Amino acid sequence: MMEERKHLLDYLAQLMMIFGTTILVVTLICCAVGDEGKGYSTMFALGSKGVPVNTVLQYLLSSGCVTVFRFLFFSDKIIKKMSVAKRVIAMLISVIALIGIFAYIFGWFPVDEPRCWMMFLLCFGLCFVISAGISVWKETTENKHLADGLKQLKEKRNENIDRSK
Amino acid sequence: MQINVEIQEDTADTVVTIQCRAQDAFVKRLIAALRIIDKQIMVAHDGNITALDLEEILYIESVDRKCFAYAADKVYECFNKLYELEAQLEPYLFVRINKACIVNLKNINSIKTYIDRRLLITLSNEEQLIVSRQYAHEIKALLGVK
Repeated sequence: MMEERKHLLDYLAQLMMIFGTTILVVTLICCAVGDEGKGYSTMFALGSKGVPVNTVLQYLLSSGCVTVFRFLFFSDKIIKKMSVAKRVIAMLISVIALIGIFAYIFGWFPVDEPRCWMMFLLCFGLCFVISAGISVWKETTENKHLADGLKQLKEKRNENIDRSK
Repeated sequence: MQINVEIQEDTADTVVTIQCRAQDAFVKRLIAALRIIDKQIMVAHDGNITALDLEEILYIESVDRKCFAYAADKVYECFNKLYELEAQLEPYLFVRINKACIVNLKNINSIKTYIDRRLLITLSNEEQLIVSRQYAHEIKALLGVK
């Protein structure tokens, strides 16, 4: 029960992290090019004054969906046997499809304009490459620390055995 | 040789004391035998009861309230419960990795991070085991990570 509550809080923390980061990035974009994008997107309906409340709620919903995808692809609870690479690809496709659907429903950008899709994919790709790079670096460092720790523990154990003989 | 067994219920660990005039070859053999026995557990295999060296064990798993010790090519049935084995084997670097499994760290080839903040263990026979999130913290602490 305690463990389940902990998992739920973990997912809630993930949701808030995704939501917070999205709001921060979009607010910065809004400040920079909000006035120019006023007619193109509902996200910039207020120009450089800020992000509209209904868009904020749409972001909350999309963050919730992304958290559900994370649970689906990265927890082994539903999909048991799948390589990490396939999980990443499945997650990417799901997120791109979700953004496409939300863009169409909520008018985030004109979905019939290839230039907008290009820009979206460029921004999304850039964010993905940066976050994947950070993850790979963090993972490599941690794996190295784990390997060093294991090696030291085995050496220490062998020393203790030698001493006891 | 006279053998005395003294039972003291308040004793935490079994103590073997050898009383002798000198540490001759026989006493040395006796000590060596005791050391070997201390690094073994009693298990059953094909209906026979045998002593299994701890070094040979890759991991011990609890399945349907029974415990099984996995060596490179054989599976043995243990007589103790998993939590008893965990306490007994803790000094020999056996650690709990999830609710149903304790692993011999000596026979681990690698430990790597895995999805959902878990760890992936590759044993010396290339078999892979997953460390649950709950125990991943403890193993990281044991390895001096974090």
